[in-house]
Amino acid sequence: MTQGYGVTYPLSSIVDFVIVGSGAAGGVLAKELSSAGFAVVVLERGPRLRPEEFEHDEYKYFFQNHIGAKTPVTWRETPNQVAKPRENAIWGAHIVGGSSVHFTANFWRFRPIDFNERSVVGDIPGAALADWPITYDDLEPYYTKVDWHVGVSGEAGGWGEPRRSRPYPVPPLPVKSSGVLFERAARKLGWHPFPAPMAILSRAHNGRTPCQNCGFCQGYGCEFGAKSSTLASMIPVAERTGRCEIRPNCYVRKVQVDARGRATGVIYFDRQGREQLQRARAIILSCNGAETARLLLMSKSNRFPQGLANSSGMVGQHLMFNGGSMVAGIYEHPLNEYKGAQVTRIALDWFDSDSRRGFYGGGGMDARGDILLPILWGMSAAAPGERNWGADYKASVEYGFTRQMTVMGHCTSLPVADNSVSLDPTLTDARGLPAIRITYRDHEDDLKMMRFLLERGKEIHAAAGAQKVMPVPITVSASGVHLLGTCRMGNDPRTSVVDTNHRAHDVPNLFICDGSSLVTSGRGQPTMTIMALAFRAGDRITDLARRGEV
Amino acid sequence: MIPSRRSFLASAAGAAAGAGIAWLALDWGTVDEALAHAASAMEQRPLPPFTTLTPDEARELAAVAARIVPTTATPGATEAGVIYFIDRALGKEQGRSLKLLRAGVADLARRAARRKPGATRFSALAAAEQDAVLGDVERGEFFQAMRFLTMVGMFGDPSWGGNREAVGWKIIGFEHRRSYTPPFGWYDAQVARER
Repeated sequence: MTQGYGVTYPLSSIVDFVIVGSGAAGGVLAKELSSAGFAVVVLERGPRLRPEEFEHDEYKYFFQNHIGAKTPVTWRETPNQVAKPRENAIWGAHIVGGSSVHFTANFWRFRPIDFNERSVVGDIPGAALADWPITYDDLEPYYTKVDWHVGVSGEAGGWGEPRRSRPYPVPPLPVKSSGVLFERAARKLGWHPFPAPMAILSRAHNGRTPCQNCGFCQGYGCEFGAKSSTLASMIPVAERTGRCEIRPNCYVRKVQVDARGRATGVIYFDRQGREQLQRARAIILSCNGAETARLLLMSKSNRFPQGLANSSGMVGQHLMFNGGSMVAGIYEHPLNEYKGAQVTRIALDWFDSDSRRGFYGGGGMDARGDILLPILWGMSAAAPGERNWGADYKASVEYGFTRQMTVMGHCTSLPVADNSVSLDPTLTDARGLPAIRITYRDHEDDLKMMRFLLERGKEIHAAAGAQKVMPVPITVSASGVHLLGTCRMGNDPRTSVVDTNHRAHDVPNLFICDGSSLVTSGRGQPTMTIMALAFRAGDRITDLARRGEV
Repeated sequence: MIPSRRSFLASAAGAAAGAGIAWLALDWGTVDEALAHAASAMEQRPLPPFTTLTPDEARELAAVAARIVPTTATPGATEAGVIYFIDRALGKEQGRSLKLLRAGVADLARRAARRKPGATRFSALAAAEQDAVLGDVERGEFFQAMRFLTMVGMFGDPSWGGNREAVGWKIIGFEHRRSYTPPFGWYDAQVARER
């Protein structure tokens, strides 16, 4: 992984763009806009880690949240409750490259239905399902850019695959035992499994090293640079332009606006905790679906008393996580799922919503090493009701570690207005800034879809010959990883926050691009779509800036 | 999904209990030799002094850890030096659990005395009695904290002070390397053979 060094701009300078956040969207935008000739400063809340600092240390990364997000979070299910603090309620990474550094790297494209489903299925009671103002065809060239520039492995022609303008740049990763068992069972059941598209290089590409199968993907950074984080793929290119500065350890607390209502800069705490102002001709927020909404709500002013870009009251609303299901299984022979990338085979036979199921929802499934490392397994090897310590338990831990795999389902979350990110009225972080308050209760159809996929997971294990099958009961979500929909895109300023150029309806030189832009949740695995949106936003913002319309 | 997965995992996902012993014995080859090696490694290396716990507290917590992951045909918490991990962690990143564990040690002493008149400490009880005492507290905060710390000390990276000689990794079949070459497991190897 090349770690270039970009330009350093004096603090007094006014740059073309300041981008808040260096993750899936911010990293792509940094590369696109600096390559287009603009002066760019990226402010990242977390540190910058060198590749050799990505250790294989489960205790440090998984249990001490070494690179994890640090904002305190409170949680409630409905708006009439008082939210209570909850640890690890949302999971992201505060680090240069953002959550694209520690993600699992499942890279499913959305499909045409994800963009116009409201028109196809109609109104869903209790939800605010809406069509996107753009289509799959609008985004397809940018999905292809993600494939080739960021680096996705896979095999074209998977079941139901929508039109793609180019094949994948590199072939699928080597199939694991979980993939073999999943594929065999799914075929037996009449389903259509295929190699998982993954943002992990199976072969050298764009000067980067291929995957070494170390297995430390989910929750860890890749020291080989084979995982296609923006840190490995985009940021080095941005820095090589000589026009992009990545400034780590900078915590933005407010977007500043002038009397005309234009954004002028951002106020942030630097590494030493000093308050600084970075001025720019335009501002882009790419902080993720929780932090972007929080920053806008914290950027209240006389002119924008409800928070910046929030005349619609939509900032923070329609939070979506993606539903999921998990069924663990134990097999006769070792699978050794701790080796290799997490997922190698998937099936998307349930992608479309089907009214015959009696509820709205769509999704897909994979098999993976999920509880794949020793401490987590040591904590987890008992079925409900079994004693989880002592000699018998130890025997289970010893037997199961190499023999287990998990079949996971991933599905839609409906946009529900009450499901939201807001500012907690009492809890603050170490700097006195408000905690993130999550209000979330899954729509009943989401829960039904999760239960549906849970049943399919049991069927997979049964057909694959598992010795023991352990489904995790479906309950309402108590945490979220995908943070989607809180500044949704739309043509109508009364019902959306950004337009099709990712420009805030209320502020002409403020752009918002990350998971918050999504109008629907997709069927899981949203990062590829976030990156594709960022490539598209890069094009649109470049056009606007060159025409003098920013 | 991950955080809920993490909390769920403490109770739910599982393994086929009991079926593993034969395989383990095979896999370990010379179990006695391995155990003897682990024990002698513990004896020969000068043990670091405890930095956070008193020797009495350390002895009691080590006894608890040894019931959570007992020494069986394979090494357990004792051979892995779990107590040294716990002692170090309580002085640093797990400091907030120190008070809880100290209170737990005192509580176990009271429970030991109730179970066996004259007993002044948990570690003096026979293993079966220790298990009975722990069974009474297994849902409580103290035991949950000890279970977590024991698993980290057993299966975490040896650099944190536990998992000596990587015995925790050896007993579950985790070979820690920076890269692997497929096939990784039995089933993908089977497919490779059929090609």
